[in-house]
Amino acid sequence: MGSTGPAALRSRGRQLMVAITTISLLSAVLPQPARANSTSHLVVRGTITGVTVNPNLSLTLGVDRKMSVYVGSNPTWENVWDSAEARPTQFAVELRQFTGAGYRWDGWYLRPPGS
Amino acid sequence: MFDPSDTAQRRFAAYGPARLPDARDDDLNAFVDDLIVGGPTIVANTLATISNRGREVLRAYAVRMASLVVRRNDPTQLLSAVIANVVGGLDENMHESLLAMAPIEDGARRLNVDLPQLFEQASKIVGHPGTVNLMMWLTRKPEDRTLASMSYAAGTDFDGFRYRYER
Repeated sequence: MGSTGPAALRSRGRQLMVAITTISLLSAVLPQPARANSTSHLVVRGTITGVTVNPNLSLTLGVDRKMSVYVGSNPTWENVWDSAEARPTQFAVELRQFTGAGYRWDGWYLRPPGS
Repeated sequence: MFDPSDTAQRRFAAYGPARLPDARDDDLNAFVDDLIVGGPTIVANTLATISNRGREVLRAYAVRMASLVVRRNDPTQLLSAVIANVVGGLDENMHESLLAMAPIEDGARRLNVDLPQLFEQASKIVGHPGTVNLMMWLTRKPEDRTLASMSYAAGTDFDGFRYRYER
């Protein structure tokens, strides 16, 4: 039998909270078909540089599952066009994937076709 | 006075092919100048109430201004053309507004205007989502941005240089 004292319960509570938080964070980016329908939107934040993970993973999930996407970064010119390289930023490429798939702007959301 | 929400736009009947310049250009110059001063908030308010006819008028104005800048060899009105075309439908990537982008780009090229810089300037006025769609235009293949690919041709009328829409 494990300890059931107050300190042990607090420790278990912390572990449980860490586990729940980790699952919540991962659920937005990992393929989990069973959970997909419960997710109403994904948050996209644009960056010009410093992409360290596959930047298209969450966006691909969004398109595949016809989810609305909340665009969390203001698509200013500086955020969508890399003037030094004369090319769209990674953020812009991601936005283009959505609009190319038929998504339409609705304020700061991108809505899937037919919604 | 141009009212973008007017669903009839009778005052602007046959405006597109009218002689260039035309008194109605002044109304639209004033309207676009107000957008330039007001920026994204005024543009958003306009887009919330604009009629389809209103959009048509602005697209016609955009192409007319593209012709005028080449004719006068003065790029001043090119920014107005871009803004008018965004409000005329590029905010929603309307097909007709994409067509009108070709004369604007062609005009910019003829006058050695840096198109990304022009779009950057326009983006600060039109805000979101026009900014993204201006960027999208730059990402099209060069052959998909030519006058011919967008059913336009460069020509002349009685008064000088003019872009012509060819069905």
